[in-house]
Amino acid sequence: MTTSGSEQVEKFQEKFEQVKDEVSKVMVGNDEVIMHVMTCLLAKGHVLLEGIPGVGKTKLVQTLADVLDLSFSRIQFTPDLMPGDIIGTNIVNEDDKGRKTFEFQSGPIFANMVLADEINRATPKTQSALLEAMQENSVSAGGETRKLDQPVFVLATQNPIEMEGTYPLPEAQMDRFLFKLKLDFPSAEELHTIVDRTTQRDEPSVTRVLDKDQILQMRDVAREMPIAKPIQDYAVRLALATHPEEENCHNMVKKYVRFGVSPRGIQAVILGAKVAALLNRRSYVANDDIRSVLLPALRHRVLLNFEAEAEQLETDEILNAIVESVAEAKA
Amino acid sequence: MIQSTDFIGPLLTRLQNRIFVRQLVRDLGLLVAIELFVFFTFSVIFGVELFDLELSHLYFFTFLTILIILVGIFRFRKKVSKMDAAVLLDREKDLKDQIKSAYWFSRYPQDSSFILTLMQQSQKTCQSVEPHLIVPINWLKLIVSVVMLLVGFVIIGSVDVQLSQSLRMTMFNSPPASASVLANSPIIVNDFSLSDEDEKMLIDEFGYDPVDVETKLPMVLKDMNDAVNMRAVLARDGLEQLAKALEGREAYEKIVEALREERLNDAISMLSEVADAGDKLKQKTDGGQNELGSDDKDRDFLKNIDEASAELGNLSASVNQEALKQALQSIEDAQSMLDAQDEARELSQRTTTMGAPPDQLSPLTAARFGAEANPTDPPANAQAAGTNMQGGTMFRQGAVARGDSDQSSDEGHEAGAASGDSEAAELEGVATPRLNVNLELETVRINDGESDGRSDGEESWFYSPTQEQTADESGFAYTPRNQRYMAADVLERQDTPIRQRRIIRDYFINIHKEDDI
Repeated sequence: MTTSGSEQVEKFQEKFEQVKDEVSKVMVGNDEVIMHVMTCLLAKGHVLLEGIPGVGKTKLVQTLADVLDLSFSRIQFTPDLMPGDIIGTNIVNEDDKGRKTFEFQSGPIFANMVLADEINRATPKTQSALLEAMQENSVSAGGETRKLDQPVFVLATQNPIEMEGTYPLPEAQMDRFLFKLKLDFPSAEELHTIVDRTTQRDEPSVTRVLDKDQILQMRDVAREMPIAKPIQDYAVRLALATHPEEENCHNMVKKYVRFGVSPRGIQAVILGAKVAALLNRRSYVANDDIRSVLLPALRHRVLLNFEAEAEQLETDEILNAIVESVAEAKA
Repeated sequence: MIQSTDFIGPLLTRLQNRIFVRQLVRDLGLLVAIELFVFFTFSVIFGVELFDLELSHLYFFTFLTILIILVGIFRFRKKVSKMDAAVLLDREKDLKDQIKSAYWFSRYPQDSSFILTLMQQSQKTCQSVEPHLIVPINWLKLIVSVVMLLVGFVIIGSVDVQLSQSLRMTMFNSPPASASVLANSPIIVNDFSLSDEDEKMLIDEFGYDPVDVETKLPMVLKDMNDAVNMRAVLARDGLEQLAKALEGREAYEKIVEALREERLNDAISMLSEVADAGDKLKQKTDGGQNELGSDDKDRDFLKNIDEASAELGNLSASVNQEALKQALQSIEDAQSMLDAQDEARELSQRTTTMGAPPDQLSPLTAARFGAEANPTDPPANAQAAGTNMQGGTMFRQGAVARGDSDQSSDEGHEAGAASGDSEAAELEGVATPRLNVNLELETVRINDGESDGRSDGEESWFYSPTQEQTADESGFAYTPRNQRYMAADVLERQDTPIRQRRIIRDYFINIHKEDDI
């Protein structure tokens, strides 16, 4: 490695700040969400955005696509959306000589950034069309597997209150998302700013500050971030503490959790923590980084039982209880 | 590339050692404090003293000491790790797990530019760290704490805890013969020996276990002194009452003088002569009135005897000769009590350490009682209100309590109605003196009673007016029921000297032994 660790950290931090500043020109508030979205991008993951209509989910993704020099496509999920509408399909082409051949017409999934808007409105069959693309970064269609151009970054949105006519994402699908982020309703001051920015003739514009290569390079830097075993052990113990079958798990876990997080969840925590460490100008991962990404990385991986749903319990409450109960250092 | 152990290892070792010392001192201090508390509790409940431990208690405290050593070993074996020291350093300096990660990567190096950066940053951090600020050990505070603990040991070990006396009495209701009490006794003897006769007397008199008599001797002597001195006080009081009864009559002047000078042998012989002379004159009177009537001197003498005897026994002239004989018996009893006091005094002088300060002596010892036992103008304790009895207190009760009729065989059933018009009241209960309890111990109340079952030959020291029977009896009945309460009340008073509390406590115990009085 030619550059020192500190230089890499500085560059990483600098680029991130540029993206953040540009996004902030359009987006008001939700700094943590912006940071976590960037974390997902740099950790080679995908993000599920959840929020009521009108809080800026789609706007955030569009702005990010504008800031990043990446190909962008949007898919509006509807009940009649078919997998082929996402992946693409073979169509018959006739050349000048009249010969007809099948030609693969790639779908919107073939982009660096894919916005799957209101993903829970499509049928599970269509939703599952995203599985291979998100996990394997490839698409199989017409007996042929096609690699997606890197980076592949899927951002899905869903509305938590309109449940009629929706198809909640299956657990396997949910597990593919690195983070699940919740966009809170803006405060009064933020609302003023939003109104001021969006009701004038000239809306704020952003410039591209990060290209594809830079993003891939930053992804590599994040993967190189070392993590000490005691820190990793803390993350593992936190993940194990979500399992009700564990002996010393929290009472809330025993009472309300049906399934704990999968190993993919631990991977998500570690990857997110590595990026978070870089964003915090550190050359090592600390327990604070683990905690900072714990909720977005695990909240959609902990499956609650009926009792919890009856009591309208959120997974965030259980995860916070786990964080308080698990010691940083092993006893 | 990574020179981790050069800077981080020694620093963490120093921190590790300081943490160990601090934890060890804290644990040991806690254990010593617990031991001190346990010892204090033992000292309060069982009267065990630090510097006078019995073997069984020694086992207990040896066990505690071993426990302390085991805790020290346990703490050493569970010594904090270097990783723990790194965690502490991170927490104290808010380093966000920097030293912890650096220490980890120093043990498991990896080829990474990030780790190199981490090590460089950690080296700078470690150079600025002062271990004594991270793990402060306040040696001055530590030394002060240790000194205070030691002082606590010494204080508890050397001071006989005030609470212990009353608490033990309340809890166990038995006179403790603990080594602590003996050690603090003012008449403790370091070197003494008893003759067989003395030892037998102590055993017979006070009922102590002969096997244990050597170890309990100082306390035995003190008890003996107290009991004998009390009896001597009662005897002198009785003698004074008798003297007052005989006072003012020519025939008894010398007897009164002898009684007040405690020349009891002379008093006995003179009173015997008077009694014998009275008998002879009576016989003459019974034999022929003419012979007697011709001798005025003899008539006057007989009259004197009759009057004095009437005052003594509150009886008619026909039985007053008997009263004189009982007075003689009482004087002999008093003499034996005073002799016993002398013997006790002599024994005490032989066995006690020479030169004991007077203020350390028991308030009941002869030395303290000397001035009070022979007052120049002793107060008359008995009250003669409402009766013909004058002089109040008499030594015999049952014997003189005879009716004025021929029912003289019913001794003790009727008293009074002797020479006056008053009617004899019934005697009630067992005649037992009730001592008005206070630290002075001079005032002695007297009871007599009906059908007390005493015969003439039995000892019965005092005689009291029948008017006081009810009050005295109720008081006496009240006293033993509340003995523990009264004893605790006196013992817990602030003005009661600590070192005298045991004596007072034993006094309460002894005074309510029915057989003793």
